[in-house]
Amino acid sequence: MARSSTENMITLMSSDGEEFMVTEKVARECTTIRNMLEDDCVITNIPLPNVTSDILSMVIEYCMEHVAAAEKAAAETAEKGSSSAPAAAKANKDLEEWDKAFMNVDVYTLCDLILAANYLNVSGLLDLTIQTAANLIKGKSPEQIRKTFHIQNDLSLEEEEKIRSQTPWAFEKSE
Amino acid sequence: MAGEDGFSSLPIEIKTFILSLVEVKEAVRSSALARSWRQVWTHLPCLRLNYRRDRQGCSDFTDVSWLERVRHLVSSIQGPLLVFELDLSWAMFLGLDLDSGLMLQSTIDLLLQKGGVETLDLSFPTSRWLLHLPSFDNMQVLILSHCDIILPDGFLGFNRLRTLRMLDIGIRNYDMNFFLQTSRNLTSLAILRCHPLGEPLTFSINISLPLLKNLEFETISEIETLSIVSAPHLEHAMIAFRYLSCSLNVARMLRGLVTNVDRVSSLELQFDVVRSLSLVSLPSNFTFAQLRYFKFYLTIDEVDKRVYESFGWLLHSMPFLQELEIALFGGANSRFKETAILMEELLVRRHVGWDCLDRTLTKVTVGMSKLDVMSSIALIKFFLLNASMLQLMKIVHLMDCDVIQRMIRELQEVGITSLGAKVIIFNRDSQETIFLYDD
Repeated sequence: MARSSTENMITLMSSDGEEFMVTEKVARECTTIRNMLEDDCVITNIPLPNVTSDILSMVIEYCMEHVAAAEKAAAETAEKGSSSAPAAAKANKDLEEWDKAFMNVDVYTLCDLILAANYLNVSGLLDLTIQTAANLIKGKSPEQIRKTFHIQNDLSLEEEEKIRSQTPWAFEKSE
Repeated sequence: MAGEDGFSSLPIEIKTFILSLVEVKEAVRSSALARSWRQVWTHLPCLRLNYRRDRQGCSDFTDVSWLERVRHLVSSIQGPLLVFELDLSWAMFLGLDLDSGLMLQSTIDLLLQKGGVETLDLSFPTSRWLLHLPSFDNMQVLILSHCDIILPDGFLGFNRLRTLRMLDIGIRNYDMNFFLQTSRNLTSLAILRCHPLGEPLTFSINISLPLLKNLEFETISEIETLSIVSAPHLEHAMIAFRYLSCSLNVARMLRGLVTNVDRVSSLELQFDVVRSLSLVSLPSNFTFAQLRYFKFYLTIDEVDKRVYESFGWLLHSMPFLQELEIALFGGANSRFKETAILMEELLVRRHVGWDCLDRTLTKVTVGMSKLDVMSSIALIKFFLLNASMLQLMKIVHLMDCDVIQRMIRELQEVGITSLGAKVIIFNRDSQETIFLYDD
């Protein structure tokens, strides 16, 4: 991890006791942590009992990528006096591609990331993960959704039939 | 056991957040996933219903069953339902007979009982339907299209309303004024093609809104007056007049409106306010003191000096203008050459006192008229030669390649590329862009 002497470093501790050193700027991407830092500016060690180390490292990876992209855009604007529209559009597209690749995870990890993004209040990551989950539901039958998310069906045939008959229009096949 | 998977064990507000991103139909489908999912969708914070989308790809669709479905959905939601959007705009065949009308009204009344609605967006088919607007205390955004509305009994106003957008709405003159007077927190107001219900047959609307930032107003001839008594925070104003025939009364009203928005930073005058203004005398020594951006539409279908007078008056009144956008439209007249010569003459002769040309104007966009190429080029040339601070001229067109090549040669002949401004020529159809630089 690159470190510059002028930047404050914060240690984040996952539920399983692993420590992650990040710059304050990266940590501030999490609104929950930003609020803690603003309440108590000498805090340098933050335990996060709700987030496991593998998920926390992913959240940090996301925050670092987005901080770096924002810094790069700001530097280009400062250099040229104004941002050039095609370059900004390309940078946005690159970041979108990165996000897309970042979302290439199994559904368990996805759900854990949703919970972590919600708890740490990383709005960009929350929107991204929620939208990814919604995309996994779109156009699928209940059977397909169960299979995708490994949901066990505990409804009896009669119960399921009854549920379907209450809103039959929702279960019609549409192209 | 169900509920062990990650998805089912997410908190309910996250599950409903996810479900609110898919179609309502798909959200309701989640009820058959497992026992723990049966009621999840009934906590949805928003319902967005679209007649056209549901009708497509559905074999046994009937209007009545769809309306029943809408009511069933609203009654099933446990609330609070924050957003309700109903788009009936493609329901051409929905007769809205008395029964279906009553069903719709009862659905909307049911919403009121649920409470909490912050955004209400109702778009009806063009067949006129009378909506009794419920009195939502928390309403922040209200968007209504194509219906007649009656205010609720004992209506005291929507205190929290920030955005009001009315498109093709019939409303009593008194109700319209009362509505605007009591919605003191409006920041964005659009009154588009609305018309008065009952007597009097004209609107006479006064706007006095302390927080208003955006105003859009599009009139049809029924309106008598719309005047801005007080809107100290108004930043953007769009004023449009859709009809080519224009009475003196409407022209006076438009003059009043334009001179009332003298503190805005952004102004747009659509069809065909500039022509209408030519019918009335305009105040001398008038200034748009904050105006930075101005866009207007101009039909150049006849050789009419008065239109250039009002155009000239506008530019004369905008000493701090930075960005100008002109969309030109040619009419049926075929005397293009005469029109272009006249435009050129008038522009050059009358532009004394257009201070923005020497001081602030840095960007000009000209949307070329497809019919009247010559006048469009005359206008482009004028700004390139006379706006001394110009950095960028954008020309938007739908022309053939050879017309554009001829124009480029003509512009190069008068030496425009040596004047320092960049010229961008953009084809709106093919998205093709040509850059003319001098370096």
